[in-house]
Amino acid sequence: MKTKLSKAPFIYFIISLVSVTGHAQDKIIPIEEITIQASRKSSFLQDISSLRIDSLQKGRYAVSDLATLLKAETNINITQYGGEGSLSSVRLRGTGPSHTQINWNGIPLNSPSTGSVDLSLMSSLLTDEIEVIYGASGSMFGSGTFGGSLNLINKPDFKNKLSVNSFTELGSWDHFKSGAGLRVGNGKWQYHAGGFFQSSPNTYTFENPYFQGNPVQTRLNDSLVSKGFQNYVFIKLKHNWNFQAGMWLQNRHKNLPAPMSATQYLPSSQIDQSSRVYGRLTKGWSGALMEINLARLSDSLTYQEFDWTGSTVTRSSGFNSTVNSAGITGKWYLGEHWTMDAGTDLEIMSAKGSSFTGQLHEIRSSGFGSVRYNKNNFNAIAGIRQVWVIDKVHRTLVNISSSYLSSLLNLTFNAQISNKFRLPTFNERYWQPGGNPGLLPETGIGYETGIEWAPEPSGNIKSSLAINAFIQDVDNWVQWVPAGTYWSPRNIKNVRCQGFDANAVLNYSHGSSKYSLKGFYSYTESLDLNLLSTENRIQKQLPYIPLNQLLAKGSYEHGQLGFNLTYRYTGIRFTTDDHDPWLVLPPVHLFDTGASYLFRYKDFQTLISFRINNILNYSYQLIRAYPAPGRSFLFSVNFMFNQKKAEYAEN
Amino acid sequence: MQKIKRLIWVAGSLLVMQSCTWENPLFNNNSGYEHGIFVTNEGAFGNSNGSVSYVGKDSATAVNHLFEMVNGRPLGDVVQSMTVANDKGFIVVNNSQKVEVVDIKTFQSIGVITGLEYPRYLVALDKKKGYLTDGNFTGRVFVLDLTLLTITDTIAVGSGPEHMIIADERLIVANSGGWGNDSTLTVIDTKTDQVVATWNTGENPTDMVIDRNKNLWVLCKGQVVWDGWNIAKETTSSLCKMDPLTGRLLGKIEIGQVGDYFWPQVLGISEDGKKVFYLESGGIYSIDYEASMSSVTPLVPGLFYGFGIEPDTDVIHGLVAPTFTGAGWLIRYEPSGLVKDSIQVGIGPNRVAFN
Repeated sequence: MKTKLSKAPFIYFIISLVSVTGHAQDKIIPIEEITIQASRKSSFLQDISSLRIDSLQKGRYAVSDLATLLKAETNINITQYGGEGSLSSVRLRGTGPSHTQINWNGIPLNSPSTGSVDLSLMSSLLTDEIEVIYGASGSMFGSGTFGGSLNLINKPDFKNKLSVNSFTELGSWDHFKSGAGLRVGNGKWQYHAGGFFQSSPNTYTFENPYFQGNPVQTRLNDSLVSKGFQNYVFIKLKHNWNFQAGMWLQNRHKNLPAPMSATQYLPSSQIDQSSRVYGRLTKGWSGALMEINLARLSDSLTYQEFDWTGSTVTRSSGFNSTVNSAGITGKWYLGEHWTMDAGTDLEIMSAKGSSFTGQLHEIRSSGFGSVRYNKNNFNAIAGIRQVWVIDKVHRTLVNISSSYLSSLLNLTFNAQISNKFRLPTFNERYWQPGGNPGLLPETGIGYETGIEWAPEPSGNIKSSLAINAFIQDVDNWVQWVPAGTYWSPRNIKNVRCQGFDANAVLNYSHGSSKYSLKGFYSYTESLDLNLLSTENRIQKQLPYIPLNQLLAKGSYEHGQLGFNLTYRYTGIRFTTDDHDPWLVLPPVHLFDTGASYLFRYKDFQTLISFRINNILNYSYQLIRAYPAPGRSFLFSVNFMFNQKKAEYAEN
Repeated sequence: MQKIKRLIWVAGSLLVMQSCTWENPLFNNNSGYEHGIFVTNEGAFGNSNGSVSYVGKDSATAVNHLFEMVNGRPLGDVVQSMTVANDKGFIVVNNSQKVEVVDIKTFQSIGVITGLEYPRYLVALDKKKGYLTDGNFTGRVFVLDLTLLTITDTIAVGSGPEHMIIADERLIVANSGGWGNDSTLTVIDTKTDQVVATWNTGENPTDMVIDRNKNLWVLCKGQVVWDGWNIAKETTSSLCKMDPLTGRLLGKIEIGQVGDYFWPQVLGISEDGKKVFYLESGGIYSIDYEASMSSVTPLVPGLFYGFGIEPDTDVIHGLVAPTFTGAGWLIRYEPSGLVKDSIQVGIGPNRVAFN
């Protein structure tokens, strides 16, 4: 079929394919700080509800883990077992930790054994962009997206020749982090490499309400040593072929602290190791684009318990898992208004562990496709994915979404309906004792609608306001329950998650001064609707899901000097199904502040930052009986050579 | 800054506590909590939400979180057991490595015994002296001064010591194997606190009672050989009848089945010593003290996490833990097995202490 392409849509669809891969992708928001050669509005129209943390925001937390970064920049519900580097999980929109898919350049990282990802293991080093997609559709992403997806994205800047940066961060309780990154190349190829090392003893003090008189105690056995290395290559080949590959190695040794009530504690630790690689080949034609992906992810977890001296291992357990995946996607531009994509992927999963009998294997495959209609300011997308798990289940997932921009009112309306599912994990099915091979997949339909007001900048003022409402059902929610003297997972909950998110941004500039105010608020109900549940939990909010969360941030920049102040509010959280009032975690109010100064000399820049977290030294817990750190100080030096505003290419 | 903190804290506390009930309808101004039963609720491991519930003998309601209500602080992690003796309550909090001691009339804290590793059960010999089992692998019995609330001596016993019973001035300790295996009872002379004998019994003994004929019944949960966290081998659980003076095995009754993944840990005896109660995967069973075979059908069918037999009345107190993320239940049954009433208690109820 002969088609005549207009330039803008063509560039847009190439970008949208390259930027997040492995699926038929449509959800790209170019951000102001990063130049992508496509209209922001036309791209934004593809989105339902999402949030981006760009390289500038991320730069303030140069070698942070994802949990720290998201807590600082968003109001997403992150639960964490204590200090820096502690086990952290995300509960997007009232769902569970295994209901958010974490993708690394389009490759799902969720463990086939646990179904979730420890966010404290996700380093932001070298990551150019972090994208949060609320309520990501199953037809786009596959299993486990009831809450949404978090996407880590690496991008090449083919105008870059050489840039180097290094970070060192020193903080309270002997905290030390250091890392370095290199980006080198030309218009044909780019190579990125970087590594980091972190040591955090986490010997912070806290008030202990479990002891008479709330004594102040020092946290013990919470230390962390972590190191990681990543590298990427992006190559433009002849005849519109492009190649990119990435590798990610990480190792973390974390001592596991005791609950606050312990008078002494049997030492234990956890070692996490990851080895991940992927390769991607793309070929463009006039009006079409093909992409081939290959990836191999290996993760291992070793848990050790020691005797009271801490020198002899008394028990050791763990598992390792491997996922090999391959996929091919094609995309076609069918005339002026229509785009279509289709593809297939295959995942071969295996796991071996001390609580599994033998080696576990599973093969999952899927075929997917979508059609997009785009005319003037109206977009509509319909997608479908068929998932097969060999000898087990198959599932059809569909998604319909649309958006409309009223140029006159500067309002964007959007709506989406999609069904989702999550396959039970290896642990849930095969853990000995208690694993339940007969578990049903969790399923549910999600509905979402939203509106954004983004007026044209008026003078020195720029603002936006967005609100999204959602309903997400999760049927057959898996929960581990006692079954005699052991525990077993059962499909016992029907849950409805519903609420709304709102965010507002106001920027004002005057001369060399810039003022910025940002606010994020979310109201989330997550209710157990299972009629078979005991009456004291029906219609009650699930544990650890706050109804209200707020993040407000103000910043001021004058020349090279910057200040910011952040307030985070996390509402009351129940820790039991039946809302036992004695076991409630009270609301949390946290204030953080920071100041920075950027020194420039030719192509050399040095950013010196100073932060105070939890200024009021507020005593709080994100997980019951695990204290969070009090006031802490962080001092960092970020040295940069030839760092400039990136112009990410379309690869 | 302190004012702001205080304001925030007060506002937060008000929000939290607005639905808490501080009034205790079961508190008797004269006898306090002396006459009733105490349910120990383990709580979810690692969540430090264990508690004690108080139920009046003639009441169908419970006061939960009794310790926190009276003392203003949470009890701790994995409340394993409670022993009432000498007008005191000794609450063993396993994963907090402590024994909280309260005045049984007011439930006010009067001290904490610490320096423990893996405490399990406590028995009182008299007003001055008590014993506490401790240890998940290598086991020990701590000799306690119950007035000073201190450890006065340590006696090495088998692996994973659990329940104890005092018979003829001797303390018999069930060595359950803990996270390993053991098949012995350690016998300690309570006058000298010396080990005087080690008897072989069934595999992994956990609990004991003495029947009408003064015979010792030992509940053995069966052997489980772990390969890491994986079960490599399992044997059936059993009841062993023994002579408490010589340790001679008088009989052995197999209960449960290999592969049921149920390792019973609770044994009970009727007031007249004629009925032995035990917990298995099908529910609460009872057999005659002269029986030589296990019961085929449970007296009280169901999935119980623990139980207790009330002295004097033989009322069966079944404990149900439907999840460890919400409240459990105390279900009381007539000695015949008919349901009497049910009462909501704390998370993971495991034992009952009668006073």
